[in-house]
Amino acid sequence: MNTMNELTFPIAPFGVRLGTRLEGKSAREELLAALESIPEPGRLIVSLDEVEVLSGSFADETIALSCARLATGEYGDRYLVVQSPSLEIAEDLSHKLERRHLAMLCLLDDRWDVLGQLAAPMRETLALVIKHKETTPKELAGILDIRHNACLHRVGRLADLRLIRREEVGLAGPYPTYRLSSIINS
Amino acid sequence: MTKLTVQTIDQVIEVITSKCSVDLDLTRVDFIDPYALLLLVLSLRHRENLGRPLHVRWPVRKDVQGWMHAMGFFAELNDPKVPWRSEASSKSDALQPMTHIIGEEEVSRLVNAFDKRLTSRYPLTVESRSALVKVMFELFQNIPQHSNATGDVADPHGLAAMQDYADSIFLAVADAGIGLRKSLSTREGFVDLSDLSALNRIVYDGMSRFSDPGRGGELRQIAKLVRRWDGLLVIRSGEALLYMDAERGDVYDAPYFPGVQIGVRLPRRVFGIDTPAVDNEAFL
Repeated sequence: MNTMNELTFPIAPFGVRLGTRLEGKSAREELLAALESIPEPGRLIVSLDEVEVLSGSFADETIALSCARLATGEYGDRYLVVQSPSLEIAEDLSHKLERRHLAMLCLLDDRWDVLGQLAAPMRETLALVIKHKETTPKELAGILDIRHNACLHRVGRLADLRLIRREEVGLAGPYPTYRLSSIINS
Repeated sequence: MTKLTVQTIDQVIEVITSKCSVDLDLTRVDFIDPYALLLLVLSLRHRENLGRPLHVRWPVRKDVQGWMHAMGFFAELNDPKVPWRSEASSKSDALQPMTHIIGEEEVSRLVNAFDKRLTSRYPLTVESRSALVKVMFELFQNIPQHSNATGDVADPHGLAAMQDYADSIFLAVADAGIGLRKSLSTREGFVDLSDLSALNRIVYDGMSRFSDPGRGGELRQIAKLVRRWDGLLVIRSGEALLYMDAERGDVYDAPYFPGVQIGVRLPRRVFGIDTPAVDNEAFL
């Protein structure tokens, strides 16, 4: 986890009130260029510090669409995390992510939260990965008291959403084994 | 009729758009809200474009005429090509005169101008200010993005205006573009909707003309906000009208008028404003 490369992308230089899709589109181009510039494994912290207003349209065009492209695997072993002074600022972003069936981690002053759509069992699993920093599906299945396959399904979805990092580290019989790690420092 | 408001303006539109009518008597009008004002200017221009003259007798009350002047009504009616100034005279009760909304690249500047007008008159709470700015961003950019999506109209005539009252702030945004039904019909599977169904699908289901799931939902978010704050939301398009206040919300039949017209009235208390800062009792 600590070896992940990191870059912060402040949104405020685009304006303290961010509203239109037109402005959002040009910000997205810069955001994705910044993401691509980070060596893998890498995370881009999208900072909402000093932003007063983030409309749904701007948030969708800049951040949610970038998140959608990240989820396709287009950017390899890279991750996006939002950093916000409050959940209220990111409220419309969360709504847009929900519409896209996506989710992002949001770093607040003294805690983290999830923006967008993530069911309670998935949140529980995500919280454990973040807490343990590094773990395995087998270990998680034991803590959660669920079947290994069910756990694999959960972490697979979290990895697809780019909420955790999942590395294939070997084989157990015909099946791959994974190391799971948090993309944020808890 | 003495008041031109959300509740009464459709009666006036029926007269203006009727082939039979030759006169419109507004002499007894003593109050006009911004939503009615925008619809009045758009419908009179619509009538003019159809080449059917209409003799209008304007309100006789000087304060009402003065407010209409300050809001840019007569300038807009006489020469719509001249962009109206974004600020009203400080001597006037007008808060934010009619402003043209044309390109998306101008939206941020216009939102900031509206916000500046409001905050120059009132100290706003951060939450209410942010919410209103978001509402303006979404409503204003809808005009360049959707009002002429098919390229069918020469000029959708996007307009916005804002007025404050003793109990509320009223924002109106209107255009005479293709309307919600035609905009939604550009999307596969939404071709044969009525105005009423299109309004329902857009506001309640968060649909838009784009299949991209991230698009749409803004009017639904605004409706939620208005309800949370015990405000009033009116969305009119074609032959359909959504009326939503603290107690009820439904979609009704309305006399046809092209485009989309929206009124948002929010109680002043949500802005942290308790007492009137201007003497606009004449309009209450």
